[in-house]
Amino acid sequence: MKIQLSSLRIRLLLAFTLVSGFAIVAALAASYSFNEVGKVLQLITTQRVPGAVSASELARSVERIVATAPRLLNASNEVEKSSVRDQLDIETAELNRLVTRLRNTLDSPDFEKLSPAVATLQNNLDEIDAIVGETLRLVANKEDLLKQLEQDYISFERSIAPRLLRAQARLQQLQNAAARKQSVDVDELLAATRAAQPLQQLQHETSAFRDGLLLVSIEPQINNLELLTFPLQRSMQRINVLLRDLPDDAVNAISPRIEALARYMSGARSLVSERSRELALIERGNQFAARNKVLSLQLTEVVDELVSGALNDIDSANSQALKVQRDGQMIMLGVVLLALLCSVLIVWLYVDRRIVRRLRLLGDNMSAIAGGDLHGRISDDADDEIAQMASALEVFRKTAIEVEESNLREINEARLQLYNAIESISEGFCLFDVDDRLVLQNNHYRELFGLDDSHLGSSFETLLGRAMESRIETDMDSDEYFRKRLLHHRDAPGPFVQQLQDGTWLRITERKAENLGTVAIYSDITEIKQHEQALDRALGERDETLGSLEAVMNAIDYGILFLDKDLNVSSCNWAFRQIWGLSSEEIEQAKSYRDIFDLNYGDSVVESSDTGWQEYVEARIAEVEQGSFDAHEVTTRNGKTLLHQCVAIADGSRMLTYFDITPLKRVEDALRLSEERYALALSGANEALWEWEMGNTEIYVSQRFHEIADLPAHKEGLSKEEWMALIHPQDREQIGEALIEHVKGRADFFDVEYRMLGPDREYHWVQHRGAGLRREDGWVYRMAGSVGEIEARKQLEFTLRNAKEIAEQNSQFKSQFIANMSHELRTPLNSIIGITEMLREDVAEDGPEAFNEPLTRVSRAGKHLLNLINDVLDLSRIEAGKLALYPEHVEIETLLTDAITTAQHLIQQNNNRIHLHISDEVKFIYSDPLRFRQIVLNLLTNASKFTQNGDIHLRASYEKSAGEEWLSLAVSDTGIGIDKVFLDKLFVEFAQEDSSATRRYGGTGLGLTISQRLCSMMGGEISVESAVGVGTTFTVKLPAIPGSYADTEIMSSRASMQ
Amino acid sequence: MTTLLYVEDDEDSIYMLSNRLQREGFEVLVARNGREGLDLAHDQRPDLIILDLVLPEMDGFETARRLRASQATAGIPIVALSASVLPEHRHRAIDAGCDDFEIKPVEFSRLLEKIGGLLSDAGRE
Repeated sequence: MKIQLSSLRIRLLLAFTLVSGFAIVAALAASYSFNEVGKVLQLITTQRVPGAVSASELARSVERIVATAPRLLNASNEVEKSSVRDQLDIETAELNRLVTRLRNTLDSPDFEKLSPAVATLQNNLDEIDAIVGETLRLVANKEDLLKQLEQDYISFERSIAPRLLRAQARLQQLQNAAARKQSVDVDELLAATRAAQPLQQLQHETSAFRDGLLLVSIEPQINNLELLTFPLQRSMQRINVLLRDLPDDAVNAISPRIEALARYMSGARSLVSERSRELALIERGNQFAARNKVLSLQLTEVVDELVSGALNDIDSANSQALKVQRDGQMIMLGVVLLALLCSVLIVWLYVDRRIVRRLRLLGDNMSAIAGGDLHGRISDDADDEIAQMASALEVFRKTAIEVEESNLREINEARLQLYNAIESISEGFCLFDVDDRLVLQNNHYRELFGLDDSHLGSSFETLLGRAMESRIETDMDSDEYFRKRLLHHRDAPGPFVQQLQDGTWLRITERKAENLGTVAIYSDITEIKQHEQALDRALGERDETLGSLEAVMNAIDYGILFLDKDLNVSSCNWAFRQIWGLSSEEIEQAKSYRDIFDLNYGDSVVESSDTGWQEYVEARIAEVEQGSFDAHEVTTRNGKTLLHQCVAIADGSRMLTYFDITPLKRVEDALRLSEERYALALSGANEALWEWEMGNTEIYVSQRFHEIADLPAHKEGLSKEEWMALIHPQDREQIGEALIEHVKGRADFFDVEYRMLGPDREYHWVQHRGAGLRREDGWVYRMAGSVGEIEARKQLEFTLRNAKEIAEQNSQFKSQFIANMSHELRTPLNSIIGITEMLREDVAEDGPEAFNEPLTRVSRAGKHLLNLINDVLDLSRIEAGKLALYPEHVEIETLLTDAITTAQHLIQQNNNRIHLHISDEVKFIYSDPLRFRQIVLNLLTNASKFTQNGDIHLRASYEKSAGEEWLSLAVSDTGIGIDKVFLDKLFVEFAQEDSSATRRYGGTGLGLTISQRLCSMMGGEISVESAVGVGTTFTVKLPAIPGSYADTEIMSSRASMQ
Repeated sequence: MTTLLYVEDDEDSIYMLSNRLQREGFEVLVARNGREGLDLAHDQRPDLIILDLVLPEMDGFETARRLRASQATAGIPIVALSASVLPEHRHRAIDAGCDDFEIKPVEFSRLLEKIGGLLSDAGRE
C-alpha cells in the first residue's frame, strides 16, 4: 500500500503516537519513583531497624551483666557463685550473639569501639570470678582459723580456770574469815590476793585479745586492720607481763596456750593477714566491678551512637524517598498536562477543522440525495479519504439520476402488461371507480353487454339499465331485480348468478377495494348449471332405488345393521330388530353402535359378566373398527345362537349381519350332550350324575342323586342355592372356592368332599367331582360331573387316623416311660456297680480270691445292664424323634484318635492291631461329635470283638457320588465275617447273628441299629460287605460339610467360655 | 487335705461314693439335701462339690444357682451327678452354674479325672 503522508490515517496515527508517548514517559517516571521509594523502605526494614533494635538489646544485655556482677562479688558460697556465673554466661553468650548480628547488619566505625569493650567486659567478669573464687577460699580458711581460735581459747580457759577458782576460793575464805572478825594473817591474805589477781587479769586480757581477733576477722576496711592490730599487740605484751607474775607451774600450763593464741595475731597464717588478703581481693573485685560499670557506660554510649546513626539513616532514607516521590509526581503532572494540551490541540486544530466539518458537509449532501434532490453540488478539493468519499457520493448521485429515468420506463411497461393481462383473461372484467363509474373493462365484458370504450365513465346504474333492456333474462319484476342487483353491487356479499337472454349463465364476483372502487368479474357458468340439473335427476332416481333396497332387506331373515364410517347407525332391517327385540323407535333413537349395545344390555351376547360389560362393549367396537371379520357363532343370553359377520365397505362404513342358527345348534348339541353323558356315566358307576348348561338356572341330576340327597323324587334338577342348602354349613365355602378355581382355568377339574344332607335328613360324606366344557376362548359353557357317597371310606380314614394318633401317643408314652425307668434303674445301679467295684478293689488288696470272681460277675452284669439301658434309651429316642443332634465343627483326626484310645483296651484284649489311615484333605466335618464318636466306637468295638489276632483298619477319605461329596469312614477287620443270610438282618435291633453270640461276644445287639439310625439322622448311610472267614468292612458315609479351622477355634473358645 | 462336699439323698450312693473318694485321699463331707449342702458349703468352704440333681427340699439346680450367687461359694467347682439321661437336665445343670456333669452309674475313674481337672483349674485361678 502506498503510504501517503497527507492521508488521514497517517496523521491520526502520528497524533495518537505522540499522546501515547507522553503516557509512556509518565509511566516510566512513576515506575522509577516507586522503585526508589521501595529501595529506601527495603533498606530501612532489612538493615537499619533490626540494627537499631539489636544495638538497644545489646545495651540492655550489658546493663544486665553489669548489674549482676556485684551479686557475683557478694556470693557467699560456691553454689551461689556458680549459679550467678551460669546466669552471666548465658547473658554473655546472648551478648556475643548480638554483637555478631550487629556486625552483620551495621557497618559503622563506632562498631570498632564496641568489640574491645565487650571483650574487656568478659575479661573483667573472668577476673571477678577468679577473685570471688579466691575470696571464698580465704573466707573458708578464716572460718577454720576462727574455729581453731575458739578451741585454743577454750584450751586456755581450761588451763586457767581451775587455778583461778582455787585462788579465788582461797581469797574468799580469807575474806569471809576477816568478815567474821577472825584473826587473819594479812600476809596470807595478800599472798592469796596476789595469787588471784594476775590470774584474773590474765583471763580478762586474753578475753579482750580474743575479742580483738574477732573484730579483725570482720573488719570491712583494710586500713583499719593496722589500727586493730595495735591493741592486740599491747594485750599480748600485757599477757606476757602477767605471765611472769604467775607461779612456774601455772606458767608452764598457760604459756603454750597463750603462744597458740598469739599466732592468730601475726605471721603468714594469722587472722590479720588472712583478713587483709581477703579485703584486698574484695577491693580488687570492686575495682573490676567499677571498671565494668564504666565499660557499660561506654558501651551504652557506643550503642546510643549506633542507634542514633541508624535513626539518622532512616531519616535520610525517608527524606530521600520523599524527594524521589515528589520529583516523580512533578514529572508525571508535567507529562500529563503536556499530553492533555496535545490532545486538545489535535482535536481542535485537526480533527474538528479538517475532518468533522467536511464530514458534516458530505452528510448534508447525502441527505439531499436521499431526499430526492439529485442536483446538488458535491465537491472536495483535498487529497484524503473524505475527498474520496465525496467523489464516490458524486458517482452515486449520477447513478441515481439514471435509475430514476429507467424506473419510469419500467412503470409504463408494467401498465401495458396489466392491460394485456386483463384483456387476455377468459372472464369479463371491469373496474368501477369510487364514484361507481366504469374506468376499465376488457373485451370479454364489452362483448357480454355490447359495450365499447365510449361507455367508459358511465355509472353502474346506467349500464345496468341498459343491460336489462337488451341482455338480462329474469323472471323477476324488473324494478325488483334492478334494486336487488344494485344492492348486491354495493354490498358485494358474494357471487351473484344471472342468466342472459341467450341462455348464458353468469356468476358475478364483485369486490370492493379500498379507495379503488369495485372490481367485477363475470364468469360463464352455463356448463356447470347443466351438470347440476343432471345431478338432480340422478338423485331422484337413487331415492327410488334405495326404497326398493330397504324392502328387499326387510324381506330377508338375516339381521343387517349398517354403520357409517364413524360407526353411527345408518339403518337396519326388520330381521335385525326382530333378533334383538328392538322397536323401530328404539333404533331411531340409537345414534351409535354403542347405543345398540346399551339397548341390548340384559338380553345380549352372554360372553361377559356384568362387571366386564364395558370391556366387552369396547372389545366389540374395536373389532368392528378394525374391519371385516368372518362369520362366527355367538350366543345370546336368551339362548339364541347367531352367526355374526362384519363386512367393511369401501367408503369406511360397515355392514354387520346376524343369522339366527339356534334350531341348527339344538340338534348338534343334543348329539354331543348324549356322548358326554355317556362318558361321565362310565366314570361314575355308582355315582349320581349332574350337569348344568349355560343359560339354565337349574342343575340337572340323575336318578341316583335322589338316593343320596334330600331331594323330592319328582325334581330332576335343582338350583345352585338349593344345592348349597343341602351341604353342611361348615363345608360350603370350600366347594365355592374349588368351583371358582376350575372356572377360572386354574384347575383342570374340581373334586371336593363334603357332608350332604341325605334322604334320612342326616349328613353323609360325599365326593363331588366335575369338569366344565370350554369353548375355544376358554369360556365354560357347560359343566357336568358326579356325586358319590364316601361315608364308609371316611369312617375308615377316621379310624386309621385315630389309630395312628394313639400309636404315636403310645410311642411318646413309651419313650417317656423308658426315660423315667432309666432314671429309676440307674440310681440303684450306681450303688451296685460302685460297691462291687469297691469290694473287688478290697478283695484284690487284702481279701480271699474266692470273692473276686462272683463280684466281677455282678459288676459286669451291672455294666451290661447299664449299656443295655443306654442303648434302648438311644434307640427309643431315635424312634420317637426325640434325639437331637448338636452339630459343631469337629476335627476328624482328633476324634478318631480319641475313639481308638477308648477302644484300645478291647482291641488289645483279642490281640488285634489297629491302623488309622486319614487322607490328607480330610480335616474337619460339621457334625455332632458325641454321636459321630458313638458310631465310630461302635464299629471299632464290633470289629475288635469278632476278630482274633488280626488287623483292624480305620480309613477316612472323601468320595463323590450323586454329585455330592461324602466323608467315608471304613472299618475293616480280618475277623470271622458274617454269613450272607444275616447281612440283611444286621441292622435290626437285637439281631446278632446267633443269639448265643450276645453271650459269647457281649454287647446289647443294638449298637449297629443305633449306628445306622444315627447315620440316617445325619443324612448319611451305613453299609456292610463281608465274607465268612475273611473279614468284614462297615462303611459309613456322611455328607462332607467341612468347617474351617478358624470356625473350630471360635466354636471351641465359645464352648470354653460357656 | 482336699475336701469334697457330696450332696446326695440316696444312702447307698453316699456309702459307695464317699468310701471310694476317701480311699483316694479326699476328705468327704456329706449333705443329704440342697439346703444342708448350701449351709455346709458356706461353713466349711470345700474345694469341690459333687451335686446330685434330684434332691428333697431344694433340688440340685436351685442349689447350684444359690452357690454361684453367693460370693463365698461362687468360686467352688461343682460336678453335677444324676441318673437322668435327659439332655435338657444336662443343659439346665450347666446353665445353673455347674462346671461339669456326670451320669449315674458313676464311672469312677472318669469322675476322678474330672475332679482332678477342676481342682487344678481352680488352683491355677
